[in-house]
Order: sequence, then C-alpha cells, then structure tokens
Amino acid sequence: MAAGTLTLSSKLSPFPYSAIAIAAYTEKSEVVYDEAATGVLLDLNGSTTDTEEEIVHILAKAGGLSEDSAKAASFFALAKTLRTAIAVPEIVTALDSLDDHLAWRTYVVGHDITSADWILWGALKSSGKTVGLLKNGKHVHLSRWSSHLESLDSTQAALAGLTAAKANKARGTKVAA
Amino acid sequence: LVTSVTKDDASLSGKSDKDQAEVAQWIEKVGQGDIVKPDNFKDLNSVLVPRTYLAANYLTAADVAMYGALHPIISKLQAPDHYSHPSLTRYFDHIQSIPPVRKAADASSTFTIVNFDLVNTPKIDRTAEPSKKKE
Repeated sequence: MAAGTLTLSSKLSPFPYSAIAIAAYTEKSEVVYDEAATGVLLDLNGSTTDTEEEIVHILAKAGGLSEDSAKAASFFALAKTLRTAIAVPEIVTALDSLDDHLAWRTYVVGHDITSADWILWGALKSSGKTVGLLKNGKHVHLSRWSSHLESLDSTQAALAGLTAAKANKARGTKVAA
Repeated sequence: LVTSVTKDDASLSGKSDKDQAEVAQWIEKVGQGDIVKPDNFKDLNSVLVPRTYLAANYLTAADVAMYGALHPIISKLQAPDHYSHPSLTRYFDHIQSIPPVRKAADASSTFTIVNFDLVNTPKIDRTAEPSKKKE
C-alpha cells in the first residue's frame, strides 16, 4: 500500500527520474502529476521533503532497501557530478569509472538494488548528454545495468505514468489528482 | 538444486510463454554441457555482457541451472581466471547471492559460496570494445 504522495510536474527539467522510479519500485508513494508544481515534493507519513536526493533516501528507507551509507554516499556524490558536469571529458571519466565498477557487480552497492542505483540511474536518464554518450556503446556494463533497471516492471509503470501525464498536458486537460 | 529452488516459485519457469520458451532453451543448452566448459568461457562471457539474467529480466530456472553447472568449475578457478571473464564473474556472483538460490545451495553443502576479490580487479580495457548487441 502506498503510504505517501509524490507530487511533481511532468515539465520539470531536469526531470526527477530517480524519485519516480524509486517510488514505483518501493511502492511507498503514489505519484501525482500537478503541472502547476515547481519542484518535486514527497509527503510521507506527515512529513514533507523537497529535494530528490532526500526523497530517494527516505523512500529507500521506507521500502526497506538495504543500505551501506558509507558506500552509498560516494555514489550520491558521483550522481551529483553527472548532473552538474558540463564538460564531456568529465562526464566520460565518471561513466568510465561506473562502467569499471559495474563490470564486476550487478548492482552498485551489494547484491541488491539500493538507493545508490536509483540516484545514479535517474542522473543518467535525466541528462541528454549522458544518454547520448551511453549510446556510443563504449560502456557495455553500465548499459547492461541501466537497461536492467529500466526494464523492471515498476520502472516501466513509472515511465508510462509520466508519458500519460505529458499527453494529458498536451491535450490541455486536467491531470487527475 | 534447480528443483529445490523452483518448487516454491512458479515465476521461475517464466512469466510469459515467450519467457518460458527462453528458459527451456537455456536449460537444454546448459544440460548439453558444452557452454560451461572453460574453453567456451569467452563466448559465455560475451553472451552475458548485456544481461543481468540469462533468459528474462528476473531470476529464472535457467539461471539456477547455469549456476549449478558453473559452480564445480568456477569454484576451482583462481582470481586471474575470474578477472579474464568479468561478466561471467559478475553474473555468477549475483546468482549465488540471491536469497532463494543461496538457501537451496547451503542446504545441499555442495554449492559453497565462491568468494571473489573485487578490490584488486584489473582495469577494464577501454581500447577495443566492440559494441555488443543489446537486449
């Protein structure tokens, strides 16, 4: 049962893919598209959070994902780098290091999906530059990991929800709250 | 091993007809035995590069069968051999640590956990990586 509500607009840029994917994966929060929203807001058990990083942490905890906070922190930092980096060589270096890491590991930390997977997946997905660089086929391990996360039923459902919200907006109809 | 893992969970034989066919095909291939010979590890490694699981995007009986067939061989190899097949090592390590697989494997005492040293892994060669077919 979803205990929380994640409110956001489908127009947000960069779009908070990490937040909608982990909301669907943990089933701890329903996603509501409100095109008037200027950011992303999680309301879970009465407390609200408005940064994507914090939302991912909170939903991971609520969903009982295993955490290794020391290791996760370095990947959250890497996700931030990927989101903010502009220079291509800097992005490529980050992608190379992730690819090396994932060559030996199915998931980023430990043997299960954790918040670190979702924060990184969202960071890659929300940037056109990284998506383009991944298509070059130079990061086969990173691609495997990314397409695995994307192929999960929960992720597919989250992305379908986003597509539907965008279509609603295009038709100028009200998005169901 | 395959039976003891699969008896509790019907989804392991495949959630759709297509998945079930894939699973059956892989089990047959594993049963023939050639695919898990060390001489063919290079091919198997390439097959696994774009995959997390063998037949579908979730654990199936094909993975359990593959794990069972690989265990006697992989458990005897040393780190340099593990390092020469990154995707195979990654795949094996993942399957052996999934809870239902681990539980059944521990119960049989044949399938002890294989420890991989992932701290001293060599750098991945970035010079010649032909793009592989994606799933």
